Amino acid sequence: MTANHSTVTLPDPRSAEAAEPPASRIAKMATHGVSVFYGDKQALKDVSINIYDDLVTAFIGPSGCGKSTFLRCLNRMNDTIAAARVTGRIDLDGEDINRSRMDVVQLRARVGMVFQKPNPFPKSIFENVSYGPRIHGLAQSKAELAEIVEKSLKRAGLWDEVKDRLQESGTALSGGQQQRLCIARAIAVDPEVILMDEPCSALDPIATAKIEELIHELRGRYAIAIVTHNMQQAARVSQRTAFFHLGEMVEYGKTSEMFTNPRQQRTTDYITGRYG
Amino acid sequence: MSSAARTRWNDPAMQQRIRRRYASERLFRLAGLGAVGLSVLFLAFLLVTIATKGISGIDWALLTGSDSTEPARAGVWGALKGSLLTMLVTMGLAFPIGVLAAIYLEEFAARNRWTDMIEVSINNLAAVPSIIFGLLGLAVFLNVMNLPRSAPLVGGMTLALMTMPVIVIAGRNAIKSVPPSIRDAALGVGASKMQVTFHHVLPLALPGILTGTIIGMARALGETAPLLMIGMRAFIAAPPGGIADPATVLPVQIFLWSDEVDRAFVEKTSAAIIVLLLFMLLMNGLAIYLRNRFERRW
Amino acid sequence: MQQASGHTIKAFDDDMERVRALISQMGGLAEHAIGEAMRCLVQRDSQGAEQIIRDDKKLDALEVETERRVVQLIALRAPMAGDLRDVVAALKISGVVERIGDYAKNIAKRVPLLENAAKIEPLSLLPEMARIATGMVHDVLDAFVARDADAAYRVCERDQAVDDFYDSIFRTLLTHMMENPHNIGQSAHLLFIAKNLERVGDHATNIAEMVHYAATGQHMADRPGKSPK
Repeated sequence: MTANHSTVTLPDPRSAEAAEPPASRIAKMATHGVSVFYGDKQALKDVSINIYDDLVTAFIGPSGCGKSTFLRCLNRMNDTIAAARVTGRIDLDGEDINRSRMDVVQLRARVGMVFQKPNPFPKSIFENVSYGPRIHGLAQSKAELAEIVEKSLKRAGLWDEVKDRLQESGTALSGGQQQRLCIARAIAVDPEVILMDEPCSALDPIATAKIEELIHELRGRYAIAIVTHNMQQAARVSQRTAFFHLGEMVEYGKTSEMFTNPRQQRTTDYITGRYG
Repeated sequence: MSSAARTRWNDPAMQQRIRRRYASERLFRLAGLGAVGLSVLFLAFLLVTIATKGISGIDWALLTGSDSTEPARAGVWGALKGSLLTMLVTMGLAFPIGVLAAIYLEEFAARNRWTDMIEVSINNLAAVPSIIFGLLGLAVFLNVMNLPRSAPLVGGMTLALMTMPVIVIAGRNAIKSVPPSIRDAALGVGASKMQVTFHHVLPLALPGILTGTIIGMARALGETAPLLMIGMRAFIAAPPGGIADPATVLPVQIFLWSDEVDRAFVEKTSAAIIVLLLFMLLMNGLAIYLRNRFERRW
Repeated sequence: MQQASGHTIKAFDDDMERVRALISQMGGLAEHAIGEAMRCLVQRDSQGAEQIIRDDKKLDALEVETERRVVQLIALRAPMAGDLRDVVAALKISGVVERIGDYAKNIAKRVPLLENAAKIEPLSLLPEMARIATGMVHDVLDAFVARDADAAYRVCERDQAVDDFYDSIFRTLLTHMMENPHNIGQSAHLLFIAKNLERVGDHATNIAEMVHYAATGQHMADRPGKSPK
């Protein structure tokens, strides 16, 4: 039967809506008036953003605008920098991560991080992925640990490529594979939020595309926040975007609106390439 | 793009410049080779002299016999055992203390004036002449603590004091050279500071630490002055039983024999030097083997 | 919203300028064609009319060129926000202007058929109607180049005048046709010409909506002067 235009079904408009949660939804992580100081210098001014489950939130902006600094606040990685001081409130499921008695080690298991340059441990692939579950005691037996490793590698889209060589060194993989290994490592501790700091900037376009597709698949399980200096990537991958400039969060909204009709002049200048 | 004045690489002036560059490079290579050759020459001269004088003296009797007034019966076994025991004490004290101090100073201590001062002090300690340590050993270990004189225990403790700063410095540098990305990765997965340090940083810093240890131990093995000060200079006929028994070490033995009037001891001295060198090579070889085993590429 | 300054990549600015220039050029040609068609109609100039028909090819070529440039710009520059809206608007506008040119060609085709027509009132009204319509086209394309949403809005207000002209001419011609069946041929042509000019006015308001969206990112709330008949 030849197809004619009466047999073509229009896409269900509700399926696009399903990607957008209702406005009343509770945020997975909420920040209120977060500022970061390095000594006397203020790197971040009063940022208030929400990160939602099932959504990818992108942070864009020129170099040095504070987006990476902000990302690192979300899992308290700025604690490792002696001169850094964080003020304001950051909530995970309503609990303040800085003031409450939340253990920073536990926080970092719940809020995982993937870095700009792939940094697998100089150990075997298996040890890389199993390290997190081991130190947190997530597996009762060796069999269970192996299961966790397999599940994480499968979710990261790396299992088929490495299942026969789990004992080989993690650093022997290609750049894109290493980054997926780092994602598997982050997933292995069963986090609730995954933070990604320019995860594709050191990768070639094909590896980048694989990671973007992976982010799309992970979106259903984890709340994802990604810092990127590549606007097209932010446009492809995220549903919410925040634009940072000189330490301030200038605009935050739906990605589709941000890139077709932004509200702030500064945002327009940046995304149309009129900045700098 | 202006069409004027592209660089004329084929100009004679340019060519002259380039030739001069290569000429100065060749000159430097020659000078470097000369410097290396000169040092090797001296070393070769030393080795050849010792070898010719002493090679005939190496026999089983030398290696198994203890010191004796008769040159024919004198052997290095006692000194060898003393050296070994002393090295064991030195290692056992300097390595753990040095490594732990390095870890604490690099990873856990705050950065303030006090830690800066400590760093300066440790750097200075590494440069202090060894005989000062001998004086320290004499004053504290022997006079105040009344430990047995001339024992490998005291010798080891004194040498440990001397070796520890070297290990701390090497350890700190090795730890500093571990890339922060590894630390970040471990922290990101939720490792505590202790776990980051002992699961990730230390294994990667181990090759560097072992190198520092090798250097320190090699120096300690050949030390004579401090051990003389704490009394490991007596004539000891029987090899030491344990670390508390009076003993002597190989360098001191060589020193004592070289002082002897009897000409027969000359050959013995050279032979003992060969033994010392071999012992050192063996120790270094072992340490390098261990370092290579632990080396990881990242 | 005004574009603050040029792109960091100057070639991007050049590309956008070229597209705008093409639109301006097309607009000029279309306006000229309509004006010429009216002149040929009034002066019964069949030679001139043939020239207009031949010249329409230039407009078609420009539309093809515009489409090519826009597609290239989207592929190579990945325009965002205002730039993207501008470029998409340019694509749509080029199609509309080409159609306006086709109307001029259509009018020119009827000129030889009206050589011996009588001088009736509609014949003298049509040039005035054309003047307003081409004025609308001129102003709305200026608004596009200047990214002026308000100017675009004002253009829409003038469509009412064009529609009124059409209504009046329609009634007159109807009467004329009823008076004498002999007149029907000529009147029918004049009616079609009037209809074409009325469509030109409508197209100008369509372009105004595109300009408004490109400049502000919002669709025009309601078109002014659109009263039901």
